[in-house]
Amino acid sequence: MKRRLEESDAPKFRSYFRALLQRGDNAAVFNAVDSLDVARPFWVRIRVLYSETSPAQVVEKLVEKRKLVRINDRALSFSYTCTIGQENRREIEVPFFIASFDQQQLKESVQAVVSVCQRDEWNALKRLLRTEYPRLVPILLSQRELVNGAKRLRLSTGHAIRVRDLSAREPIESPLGQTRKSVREWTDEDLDKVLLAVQDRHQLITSLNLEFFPILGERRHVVPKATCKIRKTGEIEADGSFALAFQAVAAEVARVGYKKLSFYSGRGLRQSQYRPLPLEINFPLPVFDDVEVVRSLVQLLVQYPHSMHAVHHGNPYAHVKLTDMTDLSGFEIWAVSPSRLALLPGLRASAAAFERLVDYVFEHFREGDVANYE
Amino acid sequence: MSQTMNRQNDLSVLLNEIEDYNQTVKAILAFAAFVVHDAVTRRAGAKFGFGRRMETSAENRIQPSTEVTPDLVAQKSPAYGIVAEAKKRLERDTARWERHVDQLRKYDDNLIGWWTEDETIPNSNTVLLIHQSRSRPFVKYLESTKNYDPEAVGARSCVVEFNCSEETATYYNYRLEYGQLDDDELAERLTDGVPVPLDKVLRSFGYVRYYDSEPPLPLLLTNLWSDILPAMAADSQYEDHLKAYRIEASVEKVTSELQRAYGSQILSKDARSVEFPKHSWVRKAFERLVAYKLGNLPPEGSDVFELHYRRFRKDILQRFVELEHDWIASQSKQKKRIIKEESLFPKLDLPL
Repeated sequence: MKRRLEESDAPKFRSYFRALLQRGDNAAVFNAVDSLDVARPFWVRIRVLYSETSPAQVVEKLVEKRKLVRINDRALSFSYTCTIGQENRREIEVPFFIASFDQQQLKESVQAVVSVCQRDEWNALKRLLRTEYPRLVPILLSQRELVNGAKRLRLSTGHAIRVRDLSAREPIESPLGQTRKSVREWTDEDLDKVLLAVQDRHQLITSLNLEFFPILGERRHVVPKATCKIRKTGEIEADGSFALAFQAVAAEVARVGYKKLSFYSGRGLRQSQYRPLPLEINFPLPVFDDVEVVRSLVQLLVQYPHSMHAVHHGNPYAHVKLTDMTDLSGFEIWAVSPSRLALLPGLRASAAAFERLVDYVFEHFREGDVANYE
Repeated sequence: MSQTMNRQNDLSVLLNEIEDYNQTVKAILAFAAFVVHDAVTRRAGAKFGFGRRMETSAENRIQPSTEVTPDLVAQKSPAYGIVAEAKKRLERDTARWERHVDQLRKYDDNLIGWWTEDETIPNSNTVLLIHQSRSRPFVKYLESTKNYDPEAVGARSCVVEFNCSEETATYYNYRLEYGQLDDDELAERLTDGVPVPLDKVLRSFGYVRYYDSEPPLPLLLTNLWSDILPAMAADSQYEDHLKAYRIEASVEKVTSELQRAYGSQILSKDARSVEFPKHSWVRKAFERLVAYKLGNLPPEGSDVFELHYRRFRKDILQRFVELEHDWIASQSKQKKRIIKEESLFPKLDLPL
């Protein structure tokens, strides 16, 4: 069981962590965090972000706008100060740094924001970063990406991986039709076994808490080297070896996110010099041969958050226009063949808006394979 | 009938017009795809254009030596092509069908303007693409017209019916209902009936939203509001007091962008191509936005409208259909009032 800090020690820990971020260059900061012993209620928290330039550049702009302070000239270390709480308002300071995936040879358009802080402090920092959307884009993982990523970890880390707990949404029948219930399960099982059960129960994982045990031949250590909670929002909470969590788990999220967002990037008609670059989502089985399914898709699209819509056709085929009001991207969506959904980007269609739309379809309708529609 | 039912009927009529326009665009595209593709790839040298400027011969029975712009000109090869006009709906009153027969007759000619060296083509047909629901009555009408006047219908005129069907996927189906095509391959396929998958049409020409005919205003407004204006709003400031983005929208620039993204410039372009959407359509749409209190007119001599772009909570298409309906209703009320006032105070033609 991890040691829990006395409340009076929390400010001292924060101040110590801030001091760590102020010493040396990026590599020194990284190593210092790796060797830091983190006690509860603090966690090492990592958020992988994508930007068409680089997340660091976007964060630097926040410094220019005086929303952040840079606390180290040689490293990408920053500090965010704000007030939180409704009744008991208090001022907090969240020191954090930006880590690149140089070792994984990923371009700087994908980087991670890393802090060691409590949940409410982390949430405050995330709120600030959200204001920079779509310049800063979160990596949203599909079920398949999450599962495949988790499977790859065993090979990439050479550790035995056991699942400590998982949160998921599971389909249930209700008087109003099919809906989903949220489940959280505590376990101590091998990853593959858990993933099989997830598949059988048609669960959609929202977070997965993994333990990494060193192995020597057939023998497994009893104390994990690291514990990582991976959320489908591309967020990671780590305990134990930060280096392992970053280089294996965060890097996997970054790799998947970079590949996906680069694929979605530059497809708006203005950006592509009016050359159409539409996408399709291919479902493994025919779905749109049932008119009820077409109707349910249209209903779902109409409810897309922060958007405007125009339904041109809802039966027997679907043709819907969506405008994403978060960044004013536009899409036309067609379901005219049984197992395919065509997404035609409009004049403006950011990678972030594409990712949000595909994630919405995957989460609320069905998952499929995204490919060029040509 | 109650006022609410009247309103609902009027809205349905507007929505049907929009659906007809959308279907006509897709029906013309799918038919063009049928002519220029050999079911696998595009035929070498095959071309097509919407509203292409063609010239009739001096012997044309309806309009000799004049410029015409058929909905579709599709050239399968330098030796064969089709000129087509599309009709999703026909008037109930058959007396008004004469003009469609005349139009078909006008295009059944040795038209000049093909993609060949001397701009003529040795073999061609003139096709009326007509929705299945009206094809048989129209063919009967055509035959009776021909019986009465054998010259009223040209020898190369054909009627091809179309419909949009949903089986395992969405298809546009075409079948020859009248006449004989001069191309054996196309004739054989059209006689049996040809399904063209909408999916394939979307892959090749999914971005073509217009043809050389003015779209219903709510449709153009929906396209502007869901795509063009948000892209412009992204470079503008949101103004709290307006609760909207203030956009400076030039008729010229927006028309040009619509043509590049969704109109004439997607298709092959030469001196005979026409441009669509047209400036006049976009200007009318902007003026209507001003009438809906979503913007201001441009200053004298300028084409730059100030538009107030904001989010609609309900369906954009539905919203513009309602706004258009209410605008038409208010205009007709105003007209009635003017007529009433004029009848109360008749103008007297008094000598000065």
